[in-house]
Amino acid sequence: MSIVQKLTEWQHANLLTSDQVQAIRAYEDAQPSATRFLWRYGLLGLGILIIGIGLLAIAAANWNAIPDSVKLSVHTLLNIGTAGTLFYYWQKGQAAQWGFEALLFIKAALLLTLMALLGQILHTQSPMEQSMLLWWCLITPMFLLFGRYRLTFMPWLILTVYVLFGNLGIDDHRFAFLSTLIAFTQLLILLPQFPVWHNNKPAWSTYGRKTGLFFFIAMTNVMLIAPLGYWHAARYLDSDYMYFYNHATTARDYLHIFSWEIALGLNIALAYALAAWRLRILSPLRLMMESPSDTRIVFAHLLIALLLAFIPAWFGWFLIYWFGVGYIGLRHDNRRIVSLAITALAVRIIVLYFEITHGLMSTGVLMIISGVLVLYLVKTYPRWRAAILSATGARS
Amino acid sequence: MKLTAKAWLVLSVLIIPTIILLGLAGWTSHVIQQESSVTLPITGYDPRDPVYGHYFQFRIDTQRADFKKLPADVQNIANLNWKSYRFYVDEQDGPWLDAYFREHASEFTVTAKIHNQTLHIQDLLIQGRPYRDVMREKPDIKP
Repeated sequence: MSIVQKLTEWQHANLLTSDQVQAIRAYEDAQPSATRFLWRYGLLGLGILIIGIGLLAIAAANWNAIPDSVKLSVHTLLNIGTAGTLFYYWQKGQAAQWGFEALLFIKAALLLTLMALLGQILHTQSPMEQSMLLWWCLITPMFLLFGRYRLTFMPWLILTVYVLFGNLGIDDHRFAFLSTLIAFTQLLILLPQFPVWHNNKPAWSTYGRKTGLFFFIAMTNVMLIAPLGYWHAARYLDSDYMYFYNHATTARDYLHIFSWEIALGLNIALAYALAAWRLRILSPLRLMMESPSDTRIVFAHLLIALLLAFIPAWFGWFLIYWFGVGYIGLRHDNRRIVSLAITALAVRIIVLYFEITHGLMSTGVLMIISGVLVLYLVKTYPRWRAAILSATGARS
Repeated sequence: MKLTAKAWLVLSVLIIPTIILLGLAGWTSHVIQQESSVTLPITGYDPRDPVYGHYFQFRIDTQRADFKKLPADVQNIANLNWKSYRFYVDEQDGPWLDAYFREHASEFTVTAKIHNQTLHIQDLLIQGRPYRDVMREKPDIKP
């Protein structure tokens, strides 16, 4: 709820007089906007991220020139160093919790990449789900010991479900799998109560009001949609299936062919319905925005933008939509929406690099140049902003 | 500085995963090296796997290998004729291998070691030599 709406409510409740309301509004209007410079921080992060990915791309392009022993030593040092940093901050007890948990993710990611590196060197043939099971076993104690935020637990929960899916071998039996899928979907919604209980955090209803819920719903559905792509790919390797597909004539045949998609679609709808009912999905969205109409606009934008995200021909529209979302966030002084828009644009631009270049080396070089340009833009912004304002005679 | 029991627990949780991984890899590598090596022809090359990265994916060509003449421990591997294997190759090597495989598939073999009825791929060969040697001699092959 905006401060204007709150002031109106307080005035109606006779907590504030109209003079006090006017005085507060005048004071707030005189304050600098919280989001006026927010985009600069977003761009700063984007610039650093692009340079980081660029450096990684260059290392990847010259991967064969680096001896295995060097790769392994550097990676092990990175792993031990991150563990040491986490231990240092844990002992000191003064680090910001969000920073500590971000480092926890980095540690988990480094363990995964160490596994990948060992796989490359030894040419191991383990299936993905077995590798994920090993990774899950290695990182779970860390997450249970240090994790405090629900956002930290959500990816872990998704990994848990994936590990269960993959290692139970249930995808060999369609109906068994479907029923298990439905059970796990519900499990995925119920499981977050575990960390709530584990860390003695506020009640479920409070959790439902956090914006973390939004990511939770999104990840639930990513989890459900991702296997669909996998099954599609796997089915086309099945010659019996392809024969049936090519000779389908009746509606019943097509119903049989698309039974998976229909079942999954229904299950995703069920997950949404449950989440919307149990967690009151619209409440946090309304909290995020200033008014119901803005909520609808942003929600529509999110859906459309997600659909358009990775269609190259629609790249321009994608940018326009997310600039629109960012603009609404700026207009309403809403940090979360501005951050969301910057993140969406950043991710898409990074993907664009890989679309327009045809080699890791050129991608890496291009990214580093772009990152440096972005940082230069951020640094020099006050100078050229002042110049533009001066030239146009506009008020700061 | 004396560490408390909890500090030791925290340190273990952070360090032990890395040690386990390296230990597992070292132990696996050591055990595999004890086994004898076998050379097998391959087929069904897939140049790129978007999930795993730049891998040379293939199956063992059991027909060309004359299955009955293979060592017993190879014959005992379940689903050998359709199981997919992969061999990591660098980004620069991928297109060359792709182009070369299209014209000279029958020249490709792999060396592997068998442990616990599992094939551990060691090297990718062309005409019985490491593929990079052939690549160096014939750099003009383009995709």
